[in-house]
Amino acid sequence: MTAFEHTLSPRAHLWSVALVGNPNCGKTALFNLLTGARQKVANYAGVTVERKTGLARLRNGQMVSVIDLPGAYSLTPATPDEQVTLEVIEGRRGDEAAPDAIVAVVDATNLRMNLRLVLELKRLGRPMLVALNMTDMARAKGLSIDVLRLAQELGCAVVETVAVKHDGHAMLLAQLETQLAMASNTPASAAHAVTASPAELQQEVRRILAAAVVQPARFQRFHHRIDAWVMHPVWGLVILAAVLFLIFQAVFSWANPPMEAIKTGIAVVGSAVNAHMDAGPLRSLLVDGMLAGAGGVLVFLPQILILFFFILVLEDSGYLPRAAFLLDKLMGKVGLSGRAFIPLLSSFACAIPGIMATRTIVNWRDRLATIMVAPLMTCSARLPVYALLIGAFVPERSVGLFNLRGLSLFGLYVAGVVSAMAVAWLFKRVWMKSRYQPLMLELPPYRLPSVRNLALGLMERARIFLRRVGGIIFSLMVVLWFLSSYPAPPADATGPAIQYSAAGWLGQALQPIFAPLGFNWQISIALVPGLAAREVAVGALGTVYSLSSAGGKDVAETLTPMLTQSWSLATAYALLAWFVFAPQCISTLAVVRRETNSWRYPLLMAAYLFLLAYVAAFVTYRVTLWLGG
Amino acid sequence: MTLQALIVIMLVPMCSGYAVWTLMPSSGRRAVAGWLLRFKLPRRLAAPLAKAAAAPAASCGCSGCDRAAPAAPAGSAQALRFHPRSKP
Repeated sequence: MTAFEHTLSPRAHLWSVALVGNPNCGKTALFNLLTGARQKVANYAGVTVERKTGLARLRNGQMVSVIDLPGAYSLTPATPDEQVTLEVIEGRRGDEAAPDAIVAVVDATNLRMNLRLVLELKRLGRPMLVALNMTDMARAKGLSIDVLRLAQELGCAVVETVAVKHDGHAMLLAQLETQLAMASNTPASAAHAVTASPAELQQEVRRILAAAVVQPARFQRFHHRIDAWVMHPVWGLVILAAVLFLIFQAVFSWANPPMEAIKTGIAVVGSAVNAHMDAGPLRSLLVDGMLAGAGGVLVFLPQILILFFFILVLEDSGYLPRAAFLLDKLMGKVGLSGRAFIPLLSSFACAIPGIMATRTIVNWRDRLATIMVAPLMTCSARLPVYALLIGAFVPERSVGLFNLRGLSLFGLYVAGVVSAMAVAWLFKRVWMKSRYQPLMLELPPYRLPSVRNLALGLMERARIFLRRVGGIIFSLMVVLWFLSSYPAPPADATGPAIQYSAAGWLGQALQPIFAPLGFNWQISIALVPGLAAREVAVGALGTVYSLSSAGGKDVAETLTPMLTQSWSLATAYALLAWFVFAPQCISTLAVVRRETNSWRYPLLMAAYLFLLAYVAAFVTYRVTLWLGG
Repeated sequence: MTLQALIVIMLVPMCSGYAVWTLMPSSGRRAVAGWLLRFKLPRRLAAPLAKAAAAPAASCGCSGCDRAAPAAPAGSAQALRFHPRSKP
């Protein structure tokens, strides 16, 4: 009888099983497979920074609660995410009980590193089994693992898993079922980490490997040859720039056909509503609020998916940690830790996961500096704003091999990165001084991106975006439509009705503040709901201009030409500059409050971003006017 | 009052409520959900409210990340020191 069988008790409550292992050994992929969840997986360390829970159904119908934990190299935590893992295992996390059992997930291709944690976990004396993950890759590398012998040496059950295959968890499920069926009534004991010297543990690992694993004679040189180019101090940077360039070109070049299709669809629906419905408040709400507002945001779905396609490919391939090493010197020069690269890169999707990913940074001042500059990286919510303004004000023409609009988008992303580096440099010089922290990051092997992962990742992004459009953006558009339509204009009104509405008053009240930037009262209105979510600004412009236009034109289709006619080039560029720095959305500020345990930092962040945005937009407006724009 | 106006009158408060609920800090959402659960509510409404009151549902869709960040105990981190090799 193994320790697992001996101490599990068949209580009435759900069994809970924690997945514990080194970073990047496939815990979250296994968690997704077991529970049907769609948590983010990627080929680098530090993706999961908080515990996640889900339910798995065994083949006999029994339900098991599965807890996915951040990766840890040892039970002596060095970073906040490793601290989370230890607290959950020991039952010290809030009011949660310790998990009933531990599934130690190990990367079969890297047992020398992974088994050390398994030995530490074993010393806890908790029910445990080992999931030998990525066994397909281990075989492909020529590794021969004697699973029975490994189980004997470790004193617990060992099962093979391949978390990227749809039935890759079959043996784990069967083993869990067997072990739970044989569980005795002995209650699980409380456990605490027992420290052992790393040297002792490594010696034990070597002994086990000698007994149970036959290493291949051949040495894989292919990855090293790729690294010689990708991590070269000069060619590596050229490759990185080329990759980023390709991404932004593709965002504009590939997205046109599906965007046109969505625009046409919205225009057809708008025309049908106008044709078949009597004039009235509901028709105005549908056409001016929902179609011009929320529909106007929906158009940008293809561009967002193309951007995420490339991000997912890079994440799955193992390239990103290499890029982190490549940029470590630059990060060091501005005072940031090389580990800040991954959180900053995550912020291109959304600042929230980026800020949470800073938990992998050991030094508090480095972590705080990274949190403070993460919102300057261009999140995907800004993409609709950029795409709308570039589409309206940058001509569709080629510059050499490149598309001018793609170049403009690339320039805006670069502006965000350069600003983040400049602000970090300033913060680290005057406020958050700390010594340079050398970057130590595990380099994962290169992998061909999994088509299944890519498809699931894109579906997830599409679901998140559509949920936002159908949820918060739709709701805010309805509220904005109401505020822009009521109170109704007086009988002798001469201007459009929106000028007499509550939103009109608000826009006119804000206009003196934004007039030096070239923003009119319509833009001033759109900036307010943009604080809830950036892309709402696009929808708000759609609704505001739809209600401002005489004769109720179909603005879902004509917002771009309307902006071109009514804004100067200087105003458009100033608005782009505003959005490079724009004060953060409410959710980001809330997450900063949570991660720093203080209101001081989110307030400071909002203040400095507002100031930067204002100054940048003012300078851009004046310079463009001076140049004749 | 026309049917169109009636639908709009129902839709606008619903959307306002949803927007306020979604943008509210999760601690506020928990408090409001707890307060609402004191009343007898239809099961369809009570179930999500009970979930919101019990679980820390963060706006970013994470599971439990709105807990305070764990403070690392003093002295628990092992400092790594790099010693440059002395030149012969």
